[in-house]
Amino acid sequence: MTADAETAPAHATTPLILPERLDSAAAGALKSLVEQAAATESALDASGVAYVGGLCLQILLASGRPLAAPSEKVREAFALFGVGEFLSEPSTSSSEPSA
Amino acid sequence: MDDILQIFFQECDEQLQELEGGLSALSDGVSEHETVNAVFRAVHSIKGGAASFGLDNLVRFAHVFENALDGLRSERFAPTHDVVKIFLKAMDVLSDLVNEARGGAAVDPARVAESHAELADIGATGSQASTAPTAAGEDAIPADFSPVPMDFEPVPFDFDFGEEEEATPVASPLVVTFRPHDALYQRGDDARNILIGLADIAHACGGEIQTLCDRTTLPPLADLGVDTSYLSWRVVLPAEVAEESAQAVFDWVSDDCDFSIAREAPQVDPSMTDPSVADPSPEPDDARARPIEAPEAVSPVPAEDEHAAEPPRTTPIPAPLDLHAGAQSTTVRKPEQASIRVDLHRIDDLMDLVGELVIAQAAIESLSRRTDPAGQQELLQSIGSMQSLTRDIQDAVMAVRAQPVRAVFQRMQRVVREACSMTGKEIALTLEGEDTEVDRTLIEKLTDPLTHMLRNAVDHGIESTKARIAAGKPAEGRIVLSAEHRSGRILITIKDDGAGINRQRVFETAVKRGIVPADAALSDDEINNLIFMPGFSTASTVSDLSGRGVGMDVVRQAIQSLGGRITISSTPGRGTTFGFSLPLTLAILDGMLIAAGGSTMVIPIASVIETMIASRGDIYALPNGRNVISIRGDCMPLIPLATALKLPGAPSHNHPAAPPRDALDASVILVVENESGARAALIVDEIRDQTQVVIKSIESNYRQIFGVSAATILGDGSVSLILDVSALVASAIGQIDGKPSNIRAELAA
Repeated sequence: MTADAETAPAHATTPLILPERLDSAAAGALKSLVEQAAATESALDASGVAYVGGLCLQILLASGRPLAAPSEKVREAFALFGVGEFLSEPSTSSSEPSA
Repeated sequence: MDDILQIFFQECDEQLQELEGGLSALSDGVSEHETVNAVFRAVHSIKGGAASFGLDNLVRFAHVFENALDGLRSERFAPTHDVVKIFLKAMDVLSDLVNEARGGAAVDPARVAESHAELADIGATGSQASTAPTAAGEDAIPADFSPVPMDFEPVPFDFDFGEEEEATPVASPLVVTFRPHDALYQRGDDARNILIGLADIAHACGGEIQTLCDRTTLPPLADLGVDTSYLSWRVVLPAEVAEESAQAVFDWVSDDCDFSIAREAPQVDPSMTDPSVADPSPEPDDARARPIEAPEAVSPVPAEDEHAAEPPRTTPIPAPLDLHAGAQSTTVRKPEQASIRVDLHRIDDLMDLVGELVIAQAAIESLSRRTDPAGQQELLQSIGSMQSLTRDIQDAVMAVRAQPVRAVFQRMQRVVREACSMTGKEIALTLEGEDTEVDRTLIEKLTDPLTHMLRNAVDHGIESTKARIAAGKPAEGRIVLSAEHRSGRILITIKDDGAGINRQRVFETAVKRGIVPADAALSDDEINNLIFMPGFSTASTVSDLSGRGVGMDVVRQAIQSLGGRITISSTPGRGTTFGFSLPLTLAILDGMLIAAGGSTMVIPIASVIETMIASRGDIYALPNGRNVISIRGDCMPLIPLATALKLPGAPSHNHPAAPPRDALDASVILVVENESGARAALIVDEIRDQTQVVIKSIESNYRQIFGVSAATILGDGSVSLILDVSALVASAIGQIDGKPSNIRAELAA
């Protein structure tokens, strides 16, 4: 469940798997994970995410990292938050290339 | 966090009680404004609390419930029988959803959806509940109970709502902007919950929300604080949504969130049906709706700015939003820690007593150092007051644990309602004495027996409507569930006005099942009690409710395990009354310390009728070797306790026959009585004291022992057994009259 548990090998080509619950409690771990993804230029695998809260949403938006294979729950949450376009056409910040 | 959640669930229980009480009053024709308000407040409070914890399922249902109740509150429709019925059904669903959120069984989504649709129907039309769902109702509540898709698409039935609502044909959409503070997240809430709340009220009006997220202040990842709130939102709700409804979404977060609610500047309706309105480019002219950052400056991130400013894709999010995620997480919550809410003055009373105890202890300590006779005398007096204080403290603690039976009684309304719907009977349950207080442990254990008894009363006690009318009774049956304190015990009665127990049929069935011999001569009372025999059932078919012949037996066992007893009285054609007599607490017992066979034992004071010294002339020997004693003309079995319990020191341990009469002269006798009034005389070595003892289960610590109900630890640290008078009396009676003792024991108990 924790991000740390999922972060083991980080290759540029291997997406990092996001935890199932991205609630407020998971924000710290998520930030570390996303920073790791930025450092290794890995994508973030959101296929197993079932819940996205406001704090984790901020981290994902700030990272500009693309979300690979977002689950339906992620799509729904992003639509609820009014940031659905972030998924359909992942934006990249100027400093962070997309995967 | 879990602690706060538990408090929320306790509050839910209270609110549900309030709701049950209010709806029952409405059902009885009491439609005072305050009653309606109380009902509304109850649902509103549950919704508000649930939103704080992200219990999405609960929030969504409570919201639609609240909307429907709002119609009642604003007198858009009257609390007719049908409407109250829908509310009662919704209350049951709400209660189950609370239970689900607590980690209990999941609620059938179809049931939730059905009730949701009924409520939405009432809320939307503002009129009498119609059985045929409207098109809008069907559309508004999809079968899978999924919430609104967030992308705005023109929906034709928006216009239907325009027609229904007389209010504002050219009303402007409602614009809500909000920015959560850090504190909102810190206390476990989430912006997501606010958005869900807004989506719900839009949904309830048959519309959808358009959401725009303002990321202006979002820093780059490296500078981002994980606990800091940066995002804000602008949400446009359909014109039909009342400002008060939107306001209610913020009721529980107003301290932790900047927000504003205002009508958008009157723009012509095409904007509402034009998909481009979903465009995140907001109207800058509604400045009053946006005290926080203007959403049009949408993105601080250059690459995202363009995307954000673009109209959203015309393709909506493929799947409807599933907002159940929060609820899913609740199913793995750790088990609830039991807790109770107590009036502060009871705690204060307890504290006062503890203060006195400390003083008394200091006095004893000081007096114990004195050796003069006067000092010793004062010491004894101080010990006496300490005993009295201990007793007061015990009473105070019991008062802290005492709870009114209302909680369990009100739950029975639902039991009867459901049983009625399964049997097709019309029955009114009347509650009396709900404020009667009883120890909390008892309250928890009363639910199952009462449920069983009431189901039985509905299924078997009350006749069918047709039979009632034929018998000249009102078509609606009546069950009265009441509680009262009587002689240091609580007496709960269930009285129905049904057909009464058909004793002949009961007896025949008992004979058929081999429970009693065909030639047994049983009194009416004994025949009544046959229904508590294991495997007894008079139902010709096994119904969903009862008829398996295990219910009543289980009930009796449950009540007996609580130290209680059941009585039945029944009048053919007039009804049946069941009575449960229970101790006020399961923890402490007033007992008489006696000695038998060299052991010190405890007999519950409540079972002891009198004590006396036996006189040889009153003792009679029966041909089977047993003795009986005549006390003021009443004959009862005479039981040497040590022998009955087969204690090692018992004189006739190897000889079951009773001791000769001469040996019993001047014995100490205790006359004891069981629940059905059967008496026996116990011979003991001596009576030592009368005291209160703390009950410890012997079954859970060792095993069941005949004649022993529990154990206790005495002041000197020794373990003492508490006698099971019912079993002893029943066994003695069985031996005396020669009937199989197990049957008599069952009957007597």
